[in-house]
Order: sequence, then C-alpha cells, then structure tokens
Amino acid sequence: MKDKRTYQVGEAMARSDALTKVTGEEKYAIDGVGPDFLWAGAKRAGVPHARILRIGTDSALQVPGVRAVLTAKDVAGKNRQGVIRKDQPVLADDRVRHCGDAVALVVAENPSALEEALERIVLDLEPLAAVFDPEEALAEGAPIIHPDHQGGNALFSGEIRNGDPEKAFDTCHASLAACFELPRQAHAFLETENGWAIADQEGRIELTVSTQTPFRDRMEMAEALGLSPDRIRIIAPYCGGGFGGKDGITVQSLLGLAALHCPGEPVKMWWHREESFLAGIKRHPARLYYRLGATQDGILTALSARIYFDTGPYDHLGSVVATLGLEHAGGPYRIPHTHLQVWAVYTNNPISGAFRGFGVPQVTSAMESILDMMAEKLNLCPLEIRKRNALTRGDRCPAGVTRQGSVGLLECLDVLQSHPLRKTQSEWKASAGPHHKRGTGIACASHGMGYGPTVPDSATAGIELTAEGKFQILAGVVDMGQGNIATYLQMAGDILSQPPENLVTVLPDTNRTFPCGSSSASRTTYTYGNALIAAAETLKQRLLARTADFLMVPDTAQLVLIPGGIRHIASGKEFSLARLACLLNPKERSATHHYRAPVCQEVTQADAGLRLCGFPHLIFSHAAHLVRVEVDELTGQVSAKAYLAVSDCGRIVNPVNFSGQQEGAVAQGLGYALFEDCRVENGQMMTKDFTTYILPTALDVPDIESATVSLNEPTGPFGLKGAGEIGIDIPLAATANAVQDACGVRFYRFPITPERVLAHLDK
Amino acid sequence: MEIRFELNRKEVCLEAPDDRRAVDLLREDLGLTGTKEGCGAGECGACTVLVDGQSRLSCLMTAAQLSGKKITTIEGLSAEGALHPVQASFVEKGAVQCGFCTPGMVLAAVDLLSRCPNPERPQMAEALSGNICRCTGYKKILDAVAATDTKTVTDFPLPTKMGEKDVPVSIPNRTGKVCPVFLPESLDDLWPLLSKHPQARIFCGGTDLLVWIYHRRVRPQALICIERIRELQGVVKTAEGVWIGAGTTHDSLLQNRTIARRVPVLVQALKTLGSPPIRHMGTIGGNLMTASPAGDTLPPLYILDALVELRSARSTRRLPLTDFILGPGKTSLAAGEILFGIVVPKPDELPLQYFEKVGLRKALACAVASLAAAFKLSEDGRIEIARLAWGSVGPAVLRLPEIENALTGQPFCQDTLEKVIPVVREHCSPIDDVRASAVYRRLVAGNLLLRLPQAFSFSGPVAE
Repeated sequence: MKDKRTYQVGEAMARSDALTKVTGEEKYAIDGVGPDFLWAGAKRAGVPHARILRIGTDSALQVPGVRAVLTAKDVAGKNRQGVIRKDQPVLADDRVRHCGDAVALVVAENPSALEEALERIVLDLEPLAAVFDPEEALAEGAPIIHPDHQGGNALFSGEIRNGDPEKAFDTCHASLAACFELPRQAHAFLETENGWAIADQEGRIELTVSTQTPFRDRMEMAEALGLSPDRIRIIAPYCGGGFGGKDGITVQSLLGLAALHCPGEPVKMWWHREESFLAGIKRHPARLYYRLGATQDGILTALSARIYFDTGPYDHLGSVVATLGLEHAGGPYRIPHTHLQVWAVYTNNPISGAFRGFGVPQVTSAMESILDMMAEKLNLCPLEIRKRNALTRGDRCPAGVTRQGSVGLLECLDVLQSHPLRKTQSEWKASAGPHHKRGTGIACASHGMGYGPTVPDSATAGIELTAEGKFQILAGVVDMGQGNIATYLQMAGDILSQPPENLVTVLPDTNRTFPCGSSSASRTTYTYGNALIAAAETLKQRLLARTADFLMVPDTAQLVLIPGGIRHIASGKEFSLARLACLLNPKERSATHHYRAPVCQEVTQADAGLRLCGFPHLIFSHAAHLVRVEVDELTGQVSAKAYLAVSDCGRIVNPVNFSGQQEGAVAQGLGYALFEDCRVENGQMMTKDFTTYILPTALDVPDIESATVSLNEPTGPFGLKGAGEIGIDIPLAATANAVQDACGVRFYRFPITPERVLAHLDK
Repeated sequence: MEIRFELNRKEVCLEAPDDRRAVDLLREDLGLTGTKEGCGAGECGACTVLVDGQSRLSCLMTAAQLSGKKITTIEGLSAEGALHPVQASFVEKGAVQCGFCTPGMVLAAVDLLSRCPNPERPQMAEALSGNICRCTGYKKILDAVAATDTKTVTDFPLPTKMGEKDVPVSIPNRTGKVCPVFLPESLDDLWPLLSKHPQARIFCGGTDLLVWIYHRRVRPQALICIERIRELQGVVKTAEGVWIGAGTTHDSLLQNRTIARRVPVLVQALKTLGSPPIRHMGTIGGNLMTASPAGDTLPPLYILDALVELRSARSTRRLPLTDFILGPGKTSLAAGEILFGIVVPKPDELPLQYFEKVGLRKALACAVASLAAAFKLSEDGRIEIARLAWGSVGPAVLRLPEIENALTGQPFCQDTLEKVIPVVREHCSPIDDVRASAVYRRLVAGNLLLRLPQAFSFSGPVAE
C-alpha cells in the first residue's frame, strides 16, 4: 500500500514508519538475533548499600560456555558515567549504592550458561547503613552515599524568591498548606533496555542499541571505558518505547566492555522485565510541601513550595529534573510573591531519572490540587479560579520570568468550558447508581520546551537528493515512538512537494547522521524541524537554480517542484529529479543546516546553578484537561469514564500524530494517577513484574478526546510547539480533583488506589 | 525432538529442543522477529501468535506444543505490498506509535474479527485487554479495529509463502540439558509416561508453570503436557449435574451453552480470568491444580459443592473440591494420579448466581478479593439457600456454613446482609502483600455482600 499523495503539513497522513511496524518488518535493537550471538549479563548487587570486599568469579568461570567474567578492574577508563555529575560506575568498584548496581559482567555463549554463571558469582559485601527517605538523607548524621560530593546527600538544591512572600502570606485573605507524595513511576516500555555490539581486533566497537541519545552515549561510553569517541559507532533504530527511560546510558557501556573482551563476535545484552524494574531508571518520587495564599476573590498572591525529589544513588538527570520542577512549581498562573525551593537527594533507592514530564507532573499534581482546595475554600468554581489567574503573554510566571511567545491557556479553558462534558457535569454527578459516586475534575499546566539557556539546544539536519531522484533525510534524533521522524518527512515532503515514496530516512547513526541532541524535552520536532526546514529550502533553491540552467530559463520563479520532478510552469516542460541527480555533482546534491534554538535572555535573581540546569525556558505549551470519574464505594475502585484534553501546542503538523501523543500521554498519566507505583521497601524493588506493577489495559482507559487551540508559535517550525510531554503533566491532578468532587475525599498520596479510597470512605 | 507444524501456511519440520520457548524458536531460530517479547510472563501480549486461528502467547509455549498446529505470525498476515485489512486500518487510523505491541495487537484483532465480525466497542476493548500498549492510550487502536472492513477480513487471501527465508531443519541445542516435553493424546498414552517419568511436572495450559520455569523458580526434569488428551476435553450433562473435563480451556467453557445456562457464576468468573489469550491457553484443571486462593474458578466451584474426579492408571476416585485443595499450591493428588474432571452437582437448584472479583484493574488482574454467591429465594423474598465463598482472603477459598445457615430464612435485603458483614470479616485471614493489605481485603470481603441485592435485582416482596 503506497500513499501517492504529496505530503502536506497540517494533513492527517499515515505515519511513514507504521507500514513496516504493522507487518513486523521493522528491526528494533532487540531484533538483532542469531545463532552466533554471545550473551552478556550483569550480576546485580542485591543490597542497597555496602562496601565491596571481594567478588568471587572462579566458580562462574568454570561454567561451560562462559567466555568472560569481568569486574571494575577490567574497565580501562574512568568507570563513571552520567550526564551532569558523572557518578555512576559501569561496574561498581569500591561500594554498591543500590540493589540494582551492576557488580560483575558475564559473557557466555547462551542464556542458560549466562544465568548459571551469574548465580555462581559470590559477592562478599560489608553492609553500610543505608538511607531511603530524601528528607532523612538530608538530616545531620545520615549515611553519606557519595563521600566525594561536596553537598553531602543533596545532589542539587535550588531556590527562587520573588516579591515578599512572608508579608503576602501575612496579609492574604485565605491561605492553605498541604503536603503531597508522588510515587515512583516506571516507564514500562515494552522493549526493555537492550542492544548488541561487535568489536573488531583493533578495539573499534559498533553498537545497535535502544536509546534516545546516541551521540551523548558515545561520549559517555568513551570516557567511562577509556576509548576515543571515534572508536565507537552507535546505531539507534526505532525504540519500542522510551518516554525518557532511554535518555542516557542503560546497557551501552556494559555491552561495549563485553564486546571488547570478545572481539569479532556479536554480543547481546537484554534486560528482562525484572532487571528493567530493578536497574532501569524511574520517575522521581517526590514529596512536596505547598502553601498557597489568595485574596477573597481568588486572586493568587503568594506561594511557598519545598520540593524533595528522591534521585536514588546517582545523578542521572536528577538536577535537571529538579530544576524543571522548580520552574513549573507554581503552574501557569500569576503569583507575584513566591518562595520556591527544591532538592534532588541521593538515597539508596533505585535510580530516578528522566521520564516524560521531567519533574512537571509532580509539581502540577501538588499545585493543581491545592488550587482546587483554595477554590473550595473561597467557594469558587475550579474553572473560575483558573481563569482569574491564568498567565497571559507578558505576565511574569511564579518563577519570576516574563512569559513570551504564544500563551494559549485561557483559550484552552474557554474550549473546555463550552464542552458538553463540562456543561453536563451536574447531570453526570447525579447519575451515579447504587454504591457509586461520580465526579468531574479539571487541571491545567504549562510545559517549557527545550534545554534552557546554557546547554545548546541544537540539531544539524541533512538532506540529500539520491542518485535515484529521491530525497534522503539524515535524521540524527531518535524516534522512540512519538513519530518525529514521520513528521520530518511530512515537513520536507511539503517543502519539496513529494509523496511518501520519494522520501527515505537514515535513522540515527553516529557515523552517518549529524549530532542532533536527545529525543527529549519536547524539543525533538521543534529543533530538528527548524534545522530541516532550512536544509530543505537550501537544497530546493539549489535544485531549482540548476534546473533553470539546464532548461535555459532565465530564473527559478517559473519553476515548481512536483512529485518526482520540476516543472517549468510557462512551457509545461518537466525535468525529472532522477535526471537532475545524475547531472549534479554528488556534493551538490546534499544540504545541511545547523539550528540552535533561541533561549530566554531574561536574567532573574536565580542562581547560576539553576541556569546551568536549564532555568529558565522561553517557549511553553499549555493545556487544560477534564476527567469524569466513577468511584465504587464498596471496593474503592476509581474508573476514569471520559476524558478531554485541550492543548495549546502551536500549529499542528499532523493532527493524527498529535492527538495520538495526547491520548497516549493521558493514558500514562491516568496510570500514574490510579495504578502505577514501583513499591520499594528498604531499597528492594517489590514490584518486579506486570502482575504487581499495574499498567492500564484497553478496559481501563476511557475514551480520550483531544482538542486544540492552534495558536501560531512564530519561532516554531510551521508554527508548532512541543507536544510530547504536556499531556502527562495533568491527568493525576485532574483525577484527584474529580475524586474529591465525587466523594469529598482529597488525596495527598498517590496513586489513588482502591485501598486508599476505601480507607477514606470507611472513616 | 522432531517438530512438524504449519508456519504461515508452509509445512515445516525441524529438529529442536522440546523445551525451547516458542517465542525464542520463532524469533531467534527462524528469524521471525515480528513476534516481540515484552515480559516473558504472559502479562503484555507482545508475543501473541495465532495457533489454529486463536490468539496465544508464544512466551508461554514450549516448542513441542507447536507440533501439529497451524501457526500464524505477523509475517504470515500480509504478502509483499498487500496489507491485511486490519493492518491497513492500523496504518490509516494512526494506531501505531512505537510499534512494539503492534504485531500482537493486530493478531489479537484478527482473532476477534474472525470470530465476531461486528463487535461493539466494549467487546473490542475486552478482546484486546491482554495486549498492553504503552504509547497510544488504545483509542486509535480501537478506532482501527472498528474501521476495519470485516468483509474483507474473511475474503482476504492470506499469502501462501512464508517469505524468502528458508526454515532451517535443525535448531542446535545450545543450552546443554533439554527437558523433554511429552504430549500424550489419550489416557492410554499418558499412563506409561507417568510411570516412566515419575518426577515429571504435568501441565495443562502452562500459563503458570511456564512462567515459573522461565524464571527458574522450578526446574523440572521432564514435562508432560496433557492439554491434548481427548478424554479431558468437554462438558457433559449428566444425571447428577454437569461434568467438565479438566483439560477444557477457559475460553471453551465460556463458549459452552450448558455452562452458560446452568453455571452462570462460573461464566462470570471466567470472564474476569487473565486475558483473552490466557483464556485460550489455560484450563480449568490447571486453575484448580495451581490451588491458589486467588484462582478465579475456585470460589464458584466451592459454592456449587463441586467434586473432583481423580484418575490413575488403575483407579478413579472422587472427592469434594474442598477436600482436594489443601492450601496454596497443595492438593491431595497422589503420585500417578491426574485431575480428570470436575463434577458440578445440580446447579439448577441455585437460580441466583453472582461473582465479583476485585482486582487492581479491569483485565489481567489477580484477585485481591472475590466473592461467589448463589442464592435461592422464596416467593416472599426470604432466603431459602445461601452459599457464599470468598477468594484471596485466606490461605484457601473461604466458605462459611454458619453464615449461610444464619442467612437462611431471613428476608433478602441490605439489612440482613449488613448484619453478617462483621462475622465475615472476622473469619477472613488474608495476607498483606504488594497488591493489597489484609485490612483492605477484609473490608472488601464484607462490602461485596452489599452488591447482591443489585446483582440479583430482586424486586419481589421482601418479607418483614
């Protein structure tokens, strides 16, 4: 089935990658299989904090089929990886800091030999006092997890003050305080962390890996393993889900190490589900102390927030997550007097890191809950209090930064207000059957896009006219499922007037594509899209100019690109792209463009550490959501029954891809609200499979309607803004507000499990 | 062993280790990587394949179980250039994001549409509830199923070739020890195997055992798969009630008219069990042999006073189910015996039947508490017979004769039920685990009784 239509921006066209995915032809990293593959696996520590006395590998080495058993001694480089603070060993050397730490690496000829050998490794560990609560970890006398870190267990802290919050609280009409606890959410992508690698005799390694960050991985691996980056090639196929969980090193360095010890043979590493739960990163659990002050009319005047993120034993991206959380702590509202503080704290719990939303779901959950509490206190409708305080362009946000660019929150609220789900909410509430209660909740958020002012948010796009007359796009930024690559084709296809069959992609590959940054931060389509537009325009102008020469017409004004060729409008003469390609020097057939996203120039009082970690952002998407719930009073079960997401993410390049992103984010957010909780006790992961870590099934997700207010973002490619994350920021808060509406119970700890609901109802 | 089966309409015959997982054979040995693996425990559906047209999970099948079957993987659904209508609809409706669940999801949809050409939306969601998608929120997947032209599904010519790749004739055994898997097709075949391999683990469906094996929690020396034994299949109306073969799958029971008419409480329970592919594989006998207090078929069978029929090479014996199940994972099955059938005596005497499971979600849920109830009421609304059994509130399914007796003769109403709730809670001895606390299980065990008036929608006179 080939789509013959020319690509057009704005049209709901089928995704280019859907075809090979729906037939099973698409090769993910996990699909590197073969009878000659060796298997690598890690011995995990199993205890949360200990000094390593000895690692006994003799017995493991005797298992038939075992090729190598490696420990930290075999790591030639710094044996440290990380994005900001490099604090995570490839293989633990002096101590283990959480149960999932890799202590030894085994390479074997088959999975059974691998398992057998891993079981036979003997760890001689001297237990150390451990700490599992972020506030306890900050207290005097707590066991220190990284003695070499200046800040003790505070990996990072940040503070923002605006106005005079103490005075504002003293003088406000109403104030409220509450503490919220957010759970540890697992990405639970279906394709767990994996990859395969092969090294040659000279120590060059080629890895095919499920990652969101091939270029950054290469740098990290090189440093950790003591290699020159040009010795490492990373190929990044489509991911079977990422959501932030593949934003950074997972299997890469271990695989590289394994491959170096077995040159000439492909080595595979595949974390099974349990290992993914144990060793993969998770969304930061958070404890948030909020205090909100308002006037009698519900005008917000003061906010104080103390936010603790449990980052586990390693930075990963903890400091950056904390900073984004801090920036969004007050939501998309005008609050002149604020005191916002955040800590990312080392503990001996599993590692926390990037997860879609990146700190914003946690703070949104707190802010939108306490805002509803304030509305109730002042006898205002939740929609009204939001409209009275919603940021508009030119306002200062609670973090004190001028909101520039397009701001569509009020428009979103208007759409929500006139929607039937909102208009009939009292009928909904009154319609509950025996032993049931029904309610409706709303919540809002904004979400900043990109890396912020310090780390360059840039991408280099490449486009080439192939010898066959097709256009090849060098996409250096990973598609983990969100459809950014299909969107690139749609943009380039629109500019060049080509149908899908005339466009081909080169997926991220450190040898073939250009560095484009990570697939993250709602910046993937924005940044690369801008680069691609410029590259495609450059190539287009060049092709038209050369065609004008070949056709001996005076200029390019009368030439237009058509599928497969160029037409001279005046004469009707056509010149095929294949012919043009063979007349051009190959060097002329390609164009590249490097784009660096604009940054916020505003200098606030905030400290330099915050700027380094991404504060402040310049461009924000906005959204307002509504959910209907039903609560079963006999069991405490909460069902989401209908959902509306209204988004301001700029102009929409592909409406189907866009709504797909919102629906998927909402489903993940409903999971966060109702089911998902990686339970950890004394550092041990208690939920290690999909029977205890509960993901929503098709029966648990309601019909989700996605609506948009398509404001133009002038800096965005075709007017768009980031759309991948904002949808997950809001569902938990909206659900909590709906449960309160249904049965009068305000939730402070999440998820809203049947057990917690019933405990409240039983009181 | 030599395994002969039909793979994407091509006869294949290969030599492979019996106990190799079907998913590994397909992906690693045959290169059919369209079949994915997401959990290795039957909890995500990514490894779904069609076995004789029915969705099953290839992570919970041994290679041996492929023999004699018609297997369709995603690669067998479309030939070059011509997408199957379900695939075309998935592409058109934007039902594909990361694509990792897609092959399993498409095959589950093909299975649904081949049995039920015009499903309603809730039926579609139900049919796909064993396939986890982490990207889409399911809406566009259901849209795609709804938009599939079902006429073209039945007419669609499935490609006859498997693809370029030739099937190897021999799969090397790279793992050392092979655990032999036997597939007897009759009791006559079974008995000699049992005496020859007394240490063998018997399974029938494998949805529990194969998970344990894969996670190295059990390491059997031999496996005997009894799901193909003819005598273990089916439902028979007898003078004393209904006989159910232990090897009957949950799905076959759900399709069975006798069960639907005479044992509705079992149907209600089966509908909540696992997911569609799990119900295609798992059997009622397997569910009883696992002897978990969370087993969904247990509470219904307890209130029906079901008997189990045990057979060995030499003898047959019957005993009440309550005597058969001794505790979690423990039964009174003797060496050389198998669970042969289940007898449900006189279910018609219990006209009002109800089952409710409280799980943590609406499919793929393990019961944190469940209630099976069967009542008979007099014309003036008094309780003539009350039978109640709770799952997941103690080491075994809980039946409380004293409460049943206390209810007898009382008017059937909320007040009557409320009065016994404290006693019910007192008798529960649940555990705290990661799914729920004992306190919660105890609360819910009582509360579920209050659903009965609504469930039986009793509108007759209630005696004072």
